[in-house]
Amino acid sequence: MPSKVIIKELRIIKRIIGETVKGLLSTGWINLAIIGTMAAILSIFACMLRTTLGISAFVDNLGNALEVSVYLKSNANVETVAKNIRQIENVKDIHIITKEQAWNNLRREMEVPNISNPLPDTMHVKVSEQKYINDVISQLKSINGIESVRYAQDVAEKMSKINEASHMATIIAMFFIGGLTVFIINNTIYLVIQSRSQEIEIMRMMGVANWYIKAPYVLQGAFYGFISAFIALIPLNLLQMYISNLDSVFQLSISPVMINAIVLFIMFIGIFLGITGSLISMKKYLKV
Amino acid sequence: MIKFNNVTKIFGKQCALDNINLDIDTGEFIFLVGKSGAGKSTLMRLLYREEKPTAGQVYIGGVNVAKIRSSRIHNLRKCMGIVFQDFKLLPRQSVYDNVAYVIRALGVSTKEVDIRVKGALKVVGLYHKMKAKPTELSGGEQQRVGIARAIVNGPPLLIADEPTGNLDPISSIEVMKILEQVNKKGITVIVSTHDHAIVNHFKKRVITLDQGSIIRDVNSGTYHQ
Repeated sequence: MPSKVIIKELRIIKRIIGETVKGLLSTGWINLAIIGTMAAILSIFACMLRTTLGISAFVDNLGNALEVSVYLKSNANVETVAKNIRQIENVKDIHIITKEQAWNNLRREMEVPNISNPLPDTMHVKVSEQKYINDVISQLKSINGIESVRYAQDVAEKMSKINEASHMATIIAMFFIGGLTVFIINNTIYLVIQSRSQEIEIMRMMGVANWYIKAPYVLQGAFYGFISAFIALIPLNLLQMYISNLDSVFQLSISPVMINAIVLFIMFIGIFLGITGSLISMKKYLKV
Repeated sequence: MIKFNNVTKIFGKQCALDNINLDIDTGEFIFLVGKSGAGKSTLMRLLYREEKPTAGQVYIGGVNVAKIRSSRIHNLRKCMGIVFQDFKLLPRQSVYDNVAYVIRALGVSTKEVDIRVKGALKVVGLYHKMKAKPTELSGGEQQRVGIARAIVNGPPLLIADEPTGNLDPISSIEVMKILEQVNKKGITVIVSTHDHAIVNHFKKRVITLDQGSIIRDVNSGTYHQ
């Protein structure tokens, strides 16, 4: 009868959970050392990941904020040039400052001698995405009536390099942290297995399925990963709060969806590494 | 029930079993005898798939044991009870819990576990010591707990590797009498032993191994004849 099968499965699950709890209790204070170490490692990783994504957001925002300044020749027709610029793909907006406006602004701000207006007509061109800037600049230069084009390219390139470096550092850290976590879990579970090797041997010989023997150790590894990841969310939240405070100066904020994605990712990484460490230990030291 | 068909097992350069052909029927009681290194333990390990043959086939109930997938070996082992020379009891658990340990892991209900464990302990004569710890028992009694654990799941086959190896002569006879009693319930019993007195006393089928080969197979035999 299916209900009998379900009841039997439930009994097995209950026993697996019981065995897991027994394993955790027998590990004693070492549990705290493992969780503390793993939590510290995952915290570093979580904060690195959050910072990297913040830098990415900042670089994107900076790129969008940067405008291309276009200076017109003295004989150029402002409307014609503006019309030609609007036809360029990926140009989002143009802000025109005529030479008269610029001169008036300048005279308001400082005392200037009574000379004829030396300033050119200027246009500030916004591009839809940072990646199109170089393309737009080259097309702007080919338009008749434009004297010169200026863009803070150095700043954008440096930010881009910082962004790439932080991405690379996070990827390297992920592998390093992954290896370290698996190593810690692997050795811990091995100690637990060693202390219960006779029970495992008996179960193997008496026909208990491998998955049942493995399950408590896998759950123990997953438990370490989950709790450590949970603790790692505390420094992550503190960093998040700090970044929010900086928002008026540096726009490092990322969307709430991305923040939730980081939390889930850290949880996943923690549990995944915990399980992997256990499985390696089982495979390496027990032929079950 | 069991068939060894041209079975050879080689470890490195050492030939542990050499072209073994053997048939064992359901309900038989077999003594497997021979000197240390003759191949008795290897033959038993092939039965419970702790080893695979280098050549040939081992069949149990018509199933080629070597072909069973690793993830399914537990189904084979559920059909047999194994008794170890060193008892392999859990020292911190009671006699009752030692016998119940594996069937609990198999998902048997508490009520059913109780019925089966008490039944098995009655068979081995240790019902009255179910609450004792293994360390409080004699060697013979500990081995009887091992037998109770091996039969508690009602297997059709019982394999005992040197079950009296660590016991005094009187305890050895007691343990063997229990195995004989188990056999009378229809369970096939295979016992490997060095013990001449026991083999001569019980007069069962005796298979003698020497340097990996069967050199003698007699019904109602003794150790040497």
